[in-house]
Amino acid sequence: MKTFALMLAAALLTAAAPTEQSELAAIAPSPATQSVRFATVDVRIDPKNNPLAAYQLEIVGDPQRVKLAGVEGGEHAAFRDPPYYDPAGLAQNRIILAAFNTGSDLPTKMSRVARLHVQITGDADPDFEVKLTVASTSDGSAAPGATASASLSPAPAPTTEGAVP
Amino acid sequence: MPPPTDPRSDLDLVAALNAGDAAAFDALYYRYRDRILRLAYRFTANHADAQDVLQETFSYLYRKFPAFRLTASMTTFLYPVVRNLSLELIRKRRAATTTSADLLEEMPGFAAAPDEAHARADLAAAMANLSPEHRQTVLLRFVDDLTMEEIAAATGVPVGTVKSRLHHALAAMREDPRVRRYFAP
Amino acid sequence: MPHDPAEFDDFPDALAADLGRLYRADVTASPAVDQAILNRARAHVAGRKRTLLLRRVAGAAAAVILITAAVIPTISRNRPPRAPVARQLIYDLNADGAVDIRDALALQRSIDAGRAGAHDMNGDGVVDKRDVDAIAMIAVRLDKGVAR
Repeated sequence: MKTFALMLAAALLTAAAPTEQSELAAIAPSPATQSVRFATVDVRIDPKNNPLAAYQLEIVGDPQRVKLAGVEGGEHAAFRDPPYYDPAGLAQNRIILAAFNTGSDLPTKMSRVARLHVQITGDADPDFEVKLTVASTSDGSAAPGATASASLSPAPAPTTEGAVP
Repeated sequence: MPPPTDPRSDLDLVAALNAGDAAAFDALYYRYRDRILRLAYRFTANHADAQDVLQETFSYLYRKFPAFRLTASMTTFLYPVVRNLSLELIRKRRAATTTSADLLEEMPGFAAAPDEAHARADLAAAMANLSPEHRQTVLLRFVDDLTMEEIAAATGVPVGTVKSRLHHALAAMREDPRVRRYFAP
Repeated sequence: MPHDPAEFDDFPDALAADLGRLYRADVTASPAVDQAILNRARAHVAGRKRTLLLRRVAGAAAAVILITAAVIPTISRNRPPRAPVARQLIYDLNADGAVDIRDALALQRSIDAGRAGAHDMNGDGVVDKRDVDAIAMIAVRLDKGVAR
């Protein structure tokens, strides 16, 4: 009886324990089952209180997981129009963006200068590398200390308005 | 300044050049200059490089004389020259060790006006999704207005292959949500 | 698979037009490039004609032959030099060794101030936003194939 109980317990534990194959599947799902989704990436520049008149930066995503699908402008009026970009970057994982504004209403604080539409393969959020090559004021001189970043746009807040009937 | 349009056919101009009439080259040059330059720019996406390719293309052409025989249309003859020179230029610039034709990506232009940016980005993205051969065939047929036979001769494949590539390219574009609207009845 | 020609003739006009706008680049050759190409072509054709003539008069005097032997290499050496083509340096308006968006900004500011000068980047005879766009598009090229 005791032997039978031990054998039953062993059998139950074995059944409950994930197999190596299923463990692997959980860690690295097969390509056929990887999810594909579209998301947006916000590109921001902080000109550190200098009026930003021109910027140029390169954004690189994971080549295995990211494909660029579109480019939008930013939130400040000076950079609301889509930036210049190389259309060859579409359907690839890297792109160079650049824009300028000759007006006087320029952002001096961190603001979104562009938004990328991307196709992401896999569930985890990918990281994006940003190389800021130009952040200058109207006369072309560098905005000292300016920084740039690129990250997935935050998910929209759930609506609290009336439910669909 | 381009001379007045020469009424002679390409064959007549080639014959004149073979006979030593240098002015016939002027006529050929101005007749095909813009088309060659636009095609070179499409490959290289760079004005300076496109002008380099333009120079090399016509250098290649005039060095053929005085014993040149034009056996196809001038466009059919010049297209692979432009393509190969563009590829060579790009390869040199990239210092690549292979001559893969994948280096040659026909580049779309950029949106001239902000309100066209999205539409053009959609179309550019849809075209970028096509294979290089399919994209090239679509452009040769519907942007450069080459016939099937001219495309076949210019790209070195049978006419049947050209038609197959066009068929598959158009099928893909009809299914692409970014450009499907063009095909709506 | 049979291919109905009508299938391709039904290609949407609007799509063809938009493809044309996207891919049919609005570029022109500069007059300097035109002249360089035509001059070299004429020199080549003239050189070949001269060679042909000499062969037809093989019995010419030794002095003519000697003069010709001296003239032909000279003509070859004096072939019109390759015309300077637009190089990336002309796009580097602020002369900082790089072509970037600051050069486009600089040209736009010059245009706005009415002092665009000779910065006709695309060879169309005028200096306007298209030239600014030309510089900007070089700045954002993924393949920075043009030498600095």
